[in-house]
Amino acid sequence: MKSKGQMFLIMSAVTFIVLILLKNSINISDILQNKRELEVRFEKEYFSNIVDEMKGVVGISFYNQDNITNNVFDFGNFIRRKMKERTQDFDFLYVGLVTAGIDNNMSVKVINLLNKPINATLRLNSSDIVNNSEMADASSWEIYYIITEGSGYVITVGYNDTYRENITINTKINKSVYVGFFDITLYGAKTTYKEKFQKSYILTTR
Amino acid sequence: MKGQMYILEATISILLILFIVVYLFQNPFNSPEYERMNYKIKTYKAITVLDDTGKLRKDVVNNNVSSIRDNLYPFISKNLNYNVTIFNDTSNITMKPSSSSDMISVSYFLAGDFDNYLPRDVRVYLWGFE
Repeated sequence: MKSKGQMFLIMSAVTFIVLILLKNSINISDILQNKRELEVRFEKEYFSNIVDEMKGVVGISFYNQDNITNNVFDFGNFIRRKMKERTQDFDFLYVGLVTAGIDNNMSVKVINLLNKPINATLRLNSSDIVNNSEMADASSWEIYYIITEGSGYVITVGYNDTYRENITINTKINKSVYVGFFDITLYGAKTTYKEKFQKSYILTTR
Repeated sequence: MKGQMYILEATISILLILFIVVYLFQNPFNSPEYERMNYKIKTYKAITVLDDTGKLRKDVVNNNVSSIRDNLYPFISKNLNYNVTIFNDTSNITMKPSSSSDMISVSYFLAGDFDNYLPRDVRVYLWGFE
């Protein structure tokens, strides 16, 4: 009976320690959770910067039409190197379609920055002819199709029998049309970010 | 009387526990890494604001880091040191601050300015965290 008071003291000390431990553990998990959320938010911003600038390359190269796809290729390489410095992988597949509007020709250029060799395929509309090329990593492949200016076309790009995407181009008589198909992937520390889209441009000459 | 005393004791105990719990949990957590990540996001946002105004691209194409630095001034915490370095594909093309143990950096990629393809990595370095 004499030790009743001491027991209360011991119990209160134990309760106090348990509360502090509880507080610390909640704090640490909160900190980690919030830090993770911030990291993901930051990476997302980073990725949107890359995607916006990728699109921007076409606009920047507008008056130098022959270089549009080459500049996209160069910028993709630039981003890939920068991401490697941060030990992050960056995969990029690009297809650039361009028609001059006068010569019934359409150039299609595929860029492989997927960090692996691919067997790329291209098909115009539902043609039986499928062109293909063994593409090394960081390489490009260009072919030309004979078309009728003013008509719409669908180019199907694929690789390794596992990937297939349709790209639509509406050509115009006496106007140069450029279509860029972007497939961008960034492997962040916590999440993978991916954007797949196509953009069409009517090109003008200076 | 004895019952009232028990109620009083119980009330005091509950108040004590509540006080301890409120005291322990009231302060928001504060971790240096969390704080630095916050600074990174704020700095990134500041760079995007400069890009939206069109100033950034012109300054980057002209390697005018002092102008970028001045334009960033209102956005950077006054107790921090900061500097701006422009990188091309392989290395820095403007002065890089000497590294410090508490230094963080934020990159922003640019493909150039209108009709001038010039890929650049604009890096803002921040240091002097408490």
